[in-house]
Amino acid sequence: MLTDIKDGTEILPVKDGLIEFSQEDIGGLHLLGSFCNACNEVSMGTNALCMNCGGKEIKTIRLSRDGVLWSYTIIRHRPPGDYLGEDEFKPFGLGLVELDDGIKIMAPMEGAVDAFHIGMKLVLRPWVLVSKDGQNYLAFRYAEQGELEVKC
Amino acid sequence: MLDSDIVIVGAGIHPFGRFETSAEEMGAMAASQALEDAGLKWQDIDAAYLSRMYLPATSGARILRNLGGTDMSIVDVEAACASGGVALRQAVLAIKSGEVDTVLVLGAEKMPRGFMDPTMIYRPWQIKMGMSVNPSYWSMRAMRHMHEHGTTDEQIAMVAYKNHKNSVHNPNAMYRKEFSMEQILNSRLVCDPIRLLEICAANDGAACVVVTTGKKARELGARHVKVASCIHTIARYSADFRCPAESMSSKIENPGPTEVTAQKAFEVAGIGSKDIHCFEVQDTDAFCEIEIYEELGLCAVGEGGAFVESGATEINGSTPVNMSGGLISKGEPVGASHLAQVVEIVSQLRADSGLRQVEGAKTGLAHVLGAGGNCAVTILTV
Ligand SMILES: [Zn+2]
Repeated sequence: MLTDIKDGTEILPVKDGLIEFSQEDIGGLHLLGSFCNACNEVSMGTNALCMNCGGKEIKTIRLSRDGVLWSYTIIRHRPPGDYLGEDEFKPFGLGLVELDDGIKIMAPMEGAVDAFHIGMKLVLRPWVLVSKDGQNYLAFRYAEQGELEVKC
Repeated sequence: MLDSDIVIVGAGIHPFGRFETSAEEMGAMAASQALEDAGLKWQDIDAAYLSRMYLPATSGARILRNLGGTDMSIVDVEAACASGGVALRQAVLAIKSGEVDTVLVLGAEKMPRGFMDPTMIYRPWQIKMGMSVNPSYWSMRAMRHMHEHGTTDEQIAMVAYKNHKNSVHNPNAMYRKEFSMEQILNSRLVCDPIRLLEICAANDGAACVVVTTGKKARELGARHVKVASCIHTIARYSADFRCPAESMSSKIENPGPTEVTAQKAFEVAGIGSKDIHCFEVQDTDAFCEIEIYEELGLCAVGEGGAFVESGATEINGSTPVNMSGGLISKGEPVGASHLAQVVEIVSQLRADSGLRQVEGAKTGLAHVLGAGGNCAVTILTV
């Protein structure tokens, strides 16, 4: 797995405050969320204000690694701009994944596109992207539970 | 007509498509056509608004100086796909304030060729991860609707079939060609389940209306259409994951922007969806139109697929939708889009629409919805 990471090369999160991980164990990654003490709503990433009520009493939480596919599509053409997926484009899934934390998040999907179905049980997986100047970024995807090696 | 009514007295349009013509020329042409239609001169206008998203700063002044020197207020406004609704609303509010009588509202756009620059609406990390493909967000809504309500590929294709068929009679549409159901269902998938012939293209174009008071319209003896309401809103928290959102609540499900905006528009106009004789709506893709039927209250939630299948939304049906051919055949020059819908409804209410005329149309509604959850609804009556 992840043979494209050279030893000693530091991996940066694709966005600050969104992913918690250690350089030694990227498979143990967690997505971070912001829990609002005033209204109990959760948003993705670490935010200073609640997107529902504007509240400032925010607690950073680890979002659940497990989810259920709520809806999805298959992207059939290479996305525009600075997309860092494989050089040779292959259609991939994009899903809206419902987590136990009271939140649905938008995320790319790993695995065969014809196997996706609403209600499918998913698990968070690391996804290493390499920019044109050689920087490694840790991003994330969801894959069907049990389909791939899952680190517990 | 009351003296205090806000009315449209002139309408003009530059066809939608891909042109060598500059935005300045297209905009000036649509504006000059609208003035001529109103029987007014540029010097009779008190203020102007330009609706645009992709044109550079001060485009309003640059376009309209072609009509002659002026010291009036000319302001550019932007609200993504709803820009035209906001420009018209600003005109309505300005006239209601009593400070101005007659306002020119122009929409003009010349869109970049190829894929739109994703940095305009997506964050860098979303772009890196391939989450910056616009149709993907609409497609996910379609997929969920199919799962929950049994909506079919054929029903989605029927929207595209109807709109392409209507466009044959619209000289201002980009594509004026009828496609068979088979051709639509065999066109390539862009983002499942949405196909190439079910999706709208970015392009160029301009549209313009001249707005004034009922009192002024009577003095002019102009053929007027009343702006019964013109509303703009932004999607509420967790109401629409097409914004495009990174995440949404799975505990709170607020009504979508189309429903919220339309309810306000119906309230201000004092009429309901069943009182409207014709509709122009945001068919960015064919599925969107099905969802909009439901959100406007034209049919029950979940029954949008069966509604198009029944023929209700054909030009000669009970509830005609997108007589112009919709965005699917006109294309979407963003800033001009809503004003072109308004020009279409004005033409329908004046019984000027030829082979795409809705018999006896006295009321019409124009609807747009786009990036950021921007939504606008305009209701016109005669
Ligand atoms: Zn809150």
